[in-house]
Amino acid sequence: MRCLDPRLKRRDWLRLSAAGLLSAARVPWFESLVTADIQRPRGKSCILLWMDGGPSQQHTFDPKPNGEFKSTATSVPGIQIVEQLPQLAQCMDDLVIVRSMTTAINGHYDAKYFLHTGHKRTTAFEHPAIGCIASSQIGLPDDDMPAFVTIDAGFDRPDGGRLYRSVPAYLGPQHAPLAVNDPQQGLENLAAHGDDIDARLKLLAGSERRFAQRQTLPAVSAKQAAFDRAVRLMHSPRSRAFQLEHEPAGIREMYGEHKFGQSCLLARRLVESGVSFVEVIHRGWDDHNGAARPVAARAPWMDAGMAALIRDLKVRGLLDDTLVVWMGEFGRTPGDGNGHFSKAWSSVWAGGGLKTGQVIGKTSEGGKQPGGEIAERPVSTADFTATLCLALGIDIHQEFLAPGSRPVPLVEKNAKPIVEMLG
Amino acid sequence: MTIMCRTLFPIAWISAVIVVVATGSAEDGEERPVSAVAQAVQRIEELGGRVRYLTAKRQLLEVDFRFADHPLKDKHLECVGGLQNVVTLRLRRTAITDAGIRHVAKIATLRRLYLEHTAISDASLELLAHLPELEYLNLYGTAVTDQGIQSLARLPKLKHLFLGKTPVTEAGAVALRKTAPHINVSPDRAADRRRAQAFLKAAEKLLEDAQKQFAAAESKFQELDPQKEALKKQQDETAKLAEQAGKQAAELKKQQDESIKAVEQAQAAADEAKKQAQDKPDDKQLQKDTQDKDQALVDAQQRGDAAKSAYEQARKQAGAARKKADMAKNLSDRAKKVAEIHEAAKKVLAAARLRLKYAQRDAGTDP
Repeated sequence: MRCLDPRLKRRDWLRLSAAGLLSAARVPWFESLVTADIQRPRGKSCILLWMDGGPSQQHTFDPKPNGEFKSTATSVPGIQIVEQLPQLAQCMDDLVIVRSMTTAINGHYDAKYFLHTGHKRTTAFEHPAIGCIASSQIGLPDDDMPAFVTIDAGFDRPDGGRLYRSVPAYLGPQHAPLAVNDPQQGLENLAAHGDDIDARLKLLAGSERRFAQRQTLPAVSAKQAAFDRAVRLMHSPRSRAFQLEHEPAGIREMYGEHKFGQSCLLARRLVESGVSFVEVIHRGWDDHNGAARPVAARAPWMDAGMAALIRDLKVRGLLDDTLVVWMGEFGRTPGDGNGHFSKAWSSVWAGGGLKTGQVIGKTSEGGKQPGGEIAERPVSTADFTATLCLALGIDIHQEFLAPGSRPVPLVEKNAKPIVEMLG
Repeated sequence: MTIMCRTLFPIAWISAVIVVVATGSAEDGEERPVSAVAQAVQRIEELGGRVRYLTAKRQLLEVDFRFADHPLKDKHLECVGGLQNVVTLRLRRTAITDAGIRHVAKIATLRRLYLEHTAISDASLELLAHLPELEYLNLYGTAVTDQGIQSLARLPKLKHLFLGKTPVTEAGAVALRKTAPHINVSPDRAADRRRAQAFLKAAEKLLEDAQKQFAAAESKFQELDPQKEALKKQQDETAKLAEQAGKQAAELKKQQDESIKAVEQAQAAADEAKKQAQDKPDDKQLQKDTQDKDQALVDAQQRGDAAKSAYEQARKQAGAARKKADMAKNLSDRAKKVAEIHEAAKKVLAAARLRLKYAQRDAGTDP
């Protein structure tokens, strides 16, 4: 298949198939899903709420009886989270808390890489990030809107290690994210200066064409594709999704004035307008001087932003089609939350057609250090990535070719997806 | 590789279409040419729509017109009828009206229907009330009314109904739920009020806790903070004194060491003189030398003892000064820490106030 012309249009594929040329083609995900018996809805989107630095699980979604934070009952009987998150407690029937993440890496950057790509960092080549994978697998091809957008929701404190930037690696530059640096500003330089933009673009296109004819390199066509896509977005009425000022004041207030809440609102607008994957990044959860006070100060805006997002998606009937995931690169040491802790921590999932209103896994209760061990259903990074892919309708049994013709599986082969939460 | 990824999707739904055709003809017992399905897909794509495969096992399709470039007209919906097993139809923000719903109402397999922000009215609901499989109906941002939605009670499988941003009132939604308890109507105002009340209660309690913690931090801060400057000064001064005492002690230690060395030398000289005197007992000069050296040794020993006791005293003084300095540093650090805790408690309190503001706004009780 690789020898076929990349410019072949979908329409032509249809003709070829009607002519019987492709009817015997093997489709990997098609087969794997028949055997896995998991419904695979297409057209789902994902909003990843990335708490950079590693948020403390015991100060959020896995409180312990003698912990620093008290727990509160939620809308699901028997499930408790910390009392500092009362709005999310009321959303529990739309949440799944995975309390048994165990991910092996305690260093910021390597852990960020591991959780974003599903693979450990190597020196040989880079792996594609989950947002880029989603772009390549479920993004709408040839669309006005980018398939993957990242939003910077600011920071509390500047530490927490080097920031991870999603790269598409061998999936191709067309799957790189579009970065929004400030949700209030939207996309910078979206409107062209001057009214002669089309004339200027035409002039540019002329000289570019000549260059492309002489230099038939992948980099040239990739650059041209990125440029064309930017121009297309500038001309598209759907780019209004990037501008929060079109949102009613009441809704903007509901998400909270904090940059995180406004980022959540922007994420909802983007998903509504066809973006497949949005990553909201808030930095500064690396609380080495005790997690209690800083998390208590962050809780109200995080609670408001995330709960508003879930409720807003729900009332619009979009929650089934949109998966929301809250996580960092690891958790924090049980008790005061001073150190990094990858051995037993929590991630939170919402919507996406998952079986919500439940807790997956359990951390230890007794012993010298409650919460220091996984008591039930450990979830590795591979298990996590596989579950995320399946929830979005991505086939996990495929391989890509990394540089040097090295086949790399999308998800490690030993992955055990959390089937009990997949709808 | 990229090519492969990009091409997988079309192949997938092409296979899907073929399977659909196969099963369709098996069930109907009538031949359906591939081209009819292909034509329907082609028409949908020309209109800016997309056809997607939903489940591999059950061969179900989704037709999505959300992002159609040009306005979708009522008559365009006819083409959807050319496909079998369409279970999801997305028409959000399209230009369709009640006239178009006539075509939609014919798709008996339909389970999920998205009509947000369209110009449809109650007349459409009457038509849609005959869809036997409909589970999900999204009417967010349409003009449907209390009266119109009552006909939806006839939908046997309807589970999720979305009526946000419509003229439908709470009473209208309640009436529908009474006749059709199997339907989850969103928004559920009563549930929203309960949620808002729970949130308000929690926010009030958390604010109270934050106020208590702040008060505790504040009183400690009030006690130690005014002394902060004095404590810092004391810390610096005692540290300086301790340093001086330490230096002095070190100096005296040096003197002591020197005097010990001098004693050793005097001892050696006295021993040597004694030995020579013993060798020559008649030599008067040697006898006198021995006496002199002995005397010098006694003097050196005296000086050494004095230096030793001086050093000992200075060492004790330096130790005491160090202790005092450490205590002052401790106190000063505590004052600094109290200020930090006070600052953090202030932030938590501000956050708790913000939370209460949100809760009051949610509950409709904000001042």
